[in-house]
Amino acid sequence: MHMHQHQHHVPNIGPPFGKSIKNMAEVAANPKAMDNEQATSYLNQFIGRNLRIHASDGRVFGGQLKCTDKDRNVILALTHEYRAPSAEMIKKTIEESGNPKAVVTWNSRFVGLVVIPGAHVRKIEFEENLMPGQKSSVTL
Amino acid sequence: MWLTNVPASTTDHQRPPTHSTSAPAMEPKIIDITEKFTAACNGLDVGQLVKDAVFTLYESIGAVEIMDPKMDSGFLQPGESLEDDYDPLTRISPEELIGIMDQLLCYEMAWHTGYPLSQTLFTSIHIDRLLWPEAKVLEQAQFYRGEVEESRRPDLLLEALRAYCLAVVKSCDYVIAKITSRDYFEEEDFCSQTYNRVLFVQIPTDVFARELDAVIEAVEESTEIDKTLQSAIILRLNVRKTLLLALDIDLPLPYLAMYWLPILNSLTTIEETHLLGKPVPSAFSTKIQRRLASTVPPRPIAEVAFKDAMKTFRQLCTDCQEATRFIQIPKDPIEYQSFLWTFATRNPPPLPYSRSYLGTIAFSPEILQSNVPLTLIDIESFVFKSESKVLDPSHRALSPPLNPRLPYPLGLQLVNVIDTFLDRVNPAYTELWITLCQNRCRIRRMLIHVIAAWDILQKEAETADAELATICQAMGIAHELMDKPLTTWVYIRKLWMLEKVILLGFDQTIYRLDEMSFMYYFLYMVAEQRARLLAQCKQHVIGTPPPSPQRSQSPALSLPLRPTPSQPSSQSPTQPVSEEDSTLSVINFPPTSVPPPNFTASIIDSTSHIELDDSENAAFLRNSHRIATGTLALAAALSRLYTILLYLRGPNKISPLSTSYLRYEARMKPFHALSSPPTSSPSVFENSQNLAGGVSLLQKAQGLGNDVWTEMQDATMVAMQRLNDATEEAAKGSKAEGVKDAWDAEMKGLTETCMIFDEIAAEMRGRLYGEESGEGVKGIKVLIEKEDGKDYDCLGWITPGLKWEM
Repeated sequence: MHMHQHQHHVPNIGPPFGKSIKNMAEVAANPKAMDNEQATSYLNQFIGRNLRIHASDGRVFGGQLKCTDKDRNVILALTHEYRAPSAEMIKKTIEESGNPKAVVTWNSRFVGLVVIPGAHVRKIEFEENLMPGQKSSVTL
Repeated sequence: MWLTNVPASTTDHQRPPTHSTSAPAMEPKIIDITEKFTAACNGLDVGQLVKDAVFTLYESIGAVEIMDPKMDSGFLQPGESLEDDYDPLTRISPEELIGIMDQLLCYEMAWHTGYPLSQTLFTSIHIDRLLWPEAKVLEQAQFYRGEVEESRRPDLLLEALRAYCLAVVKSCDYVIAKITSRDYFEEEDFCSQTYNRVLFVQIPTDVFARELDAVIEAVEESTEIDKTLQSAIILRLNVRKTLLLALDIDLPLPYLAMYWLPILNSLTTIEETHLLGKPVPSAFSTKIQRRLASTVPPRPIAEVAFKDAMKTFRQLCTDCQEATRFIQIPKDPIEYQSFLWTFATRNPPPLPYSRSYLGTIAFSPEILQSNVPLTLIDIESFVFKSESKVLDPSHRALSPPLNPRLPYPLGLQLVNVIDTFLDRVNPAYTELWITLCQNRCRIRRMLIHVIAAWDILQKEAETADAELATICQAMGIAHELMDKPLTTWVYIRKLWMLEKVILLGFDQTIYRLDEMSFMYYFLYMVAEQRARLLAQCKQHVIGTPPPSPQRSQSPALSLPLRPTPSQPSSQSPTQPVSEEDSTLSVINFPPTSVPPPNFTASIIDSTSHIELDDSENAAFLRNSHRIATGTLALAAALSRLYTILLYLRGPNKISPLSTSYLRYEARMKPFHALSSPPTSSPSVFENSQNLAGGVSLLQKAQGLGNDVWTEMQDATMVAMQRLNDATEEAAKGSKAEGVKDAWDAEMKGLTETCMIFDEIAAEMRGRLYGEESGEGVKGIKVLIEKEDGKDYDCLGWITPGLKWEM
């Protein structure tokens, strides 16, 4: 289903027309800057896809992107919250197992629909499940 | 699905460099897109949203804002840690064991009274550890997971705590299963949420019982524990085991009553030994809530004092013990209904679990299955003579004719009409029972809907009645059939519900002081209607009492019945009146400004007619009629009293923006849609408000004349007399044998209300009209306060407290 839906979001990569001089200048000054059309297309391809957002307090939220805006506020659906085990916990596990490479699992729980304010977004990761040989469906 | 999509997705996209290495099948790729994502966001316009086409603003409101301390349950305050410091393998002393057990009991009871598990039992670190990570088998449910070094393995006391906790968890499972199997209101009655924790659903009771038995034995054999503490621990383990057995949802009906009494008998000892325990507050934490699958931030632990928890526990056991009596009461639908009603109006109100417990028993096949349908027994008790030919079971043996063109034999036609009607009755009847198992506020509200369903049923009954009449006529047994029996029955039942709705409204202090007058008037009207119908039933079932001259003057009223409050009694007060007729003229509410006709004082003299028919149904109808008459008389008297009080307080003191009439309209709204009794007529309101035509001031009230007071006091006399007669017939006569004590208390309460009322009326009369009236009464304050700890039980009958201003 996702694949089908995604067809509508395939970004238009061709050279954008009607760029204003100002916009051109901006792009020249900052190669990463995008005009509205590019930005919209780029972001649209992640709608409904799995993202991992690292929040300012270290937690990671994994869920489907539902919505975003200029302030980089992000709404995720069907989200799980992941929290790194505390240093104490790691220490304890290592001590108990005697193995410095012992696996300490992250704590996770389901939190559902969440909005992560842009101010608290530290890192955004795209999570993609691909078959071997399958090409990515998004332009990164 | 995805196979067909593979070619589609492999468009001529640029392959991201991170994807160039071949990965094993379905290995998720994680690509950092922070920079470009941020750049793209910057490229958006202010207010522009990039969103899923079907994602709406409405949906977004439901999102939890991360890092908002009020919404984000995972948000940690600076320095706050997620893990608890308490290690559940910490050795505990016997005192601490008792402390934790008692604390768990407190939380369990808090949960029963409506708190969620997250704020109660799930704050226990011990329980949390047993439940999470989820154990595949019970042996895995330990205070630790995996291996643990020998020195840290739980000792005897921790094993005892584990067995106790496991049983607590299983108890919760049973409680949830029981409550959710019946109709209940989530978060109003009870929180069934378990936050994705599985409360050992699959594991049967005996496994937990064995765990408890094992530790009980071990604790008994232990020589290290102080004897007093030892017995306190064993007692708690035993009570827990008994409770678990009592809660078992698969327990067959005959065994239900086995366990509650032993628990009740142990409660005092638990209370006495509570002080031996030593609380371990660190074994409980709100932090666990952050790990429960929930989107609300931690809320404080529900603290319930041990004393209160024991009170709740005792109430739970007592109510459940009481509920088990449902199996033993006489197998009669009216007995069942008396039981359900009495149970619902118990004080303090039964907990949701107890109500579900009773509901499960009431709706069990053992109760519902009977040779004659319960609904038919119910109908029979009101409107058919015993062994009536109309309901002759031999009709059922008749066969339909072989030739389909021939009509059915008449007897079989009768059976068909009755059976079809019973099928229609069933859902409405079930609804009534379900409603009676709800909490009291819900009963009031849901009954209004049930009444609407019965109102529809009443119309169907009329059709059935017409058919019955035709068939009986053809069979020559028309004399066996009273006029419109099924309609009468439905109407009587409906009126009973209406009475209860009004009384529950008073009980829940819904009506304001200025509304009481017309609400009691409405109650009077409903009860009067019911009494009238019951009189008809009585006449049919018991037979006509010796004819009196009055009887010919008041012909039997035909359905549909209309209230005739304005119809002045045709009897002269000096003539003797039979009991039935007296119901029509207990109080004459004036239709216009004409002063009320004299209250039929003779009613007091009319000794209740001694009927010779001593069959169960005859007694039942007699008593129902008495109580209905008592109700209507008392309601009429109270309505009068509150009207007078209203007048004394002067007009419109209550609120400048509303009038009594508007409030009357609002109160009556649910009943306007009913086909009967009529409520829309403003005369109902006017009748309740008019004393003797438009007087509205204190002076006028003083000049009301003797009649009003006499009338009220006479009405109370009638009420008391009827109630006394009913009490003599005893609960059995009212088909309330199963709840005899409560029924007696109710009668006592009603009589007591009459007496209180009488005192108030006498006092008012003296002050306003009697010799003391010259002392200059300036005003009056009316206090309506629910008295706590009344020694009698009287739901919905409110007598005012008066304070005179001189």
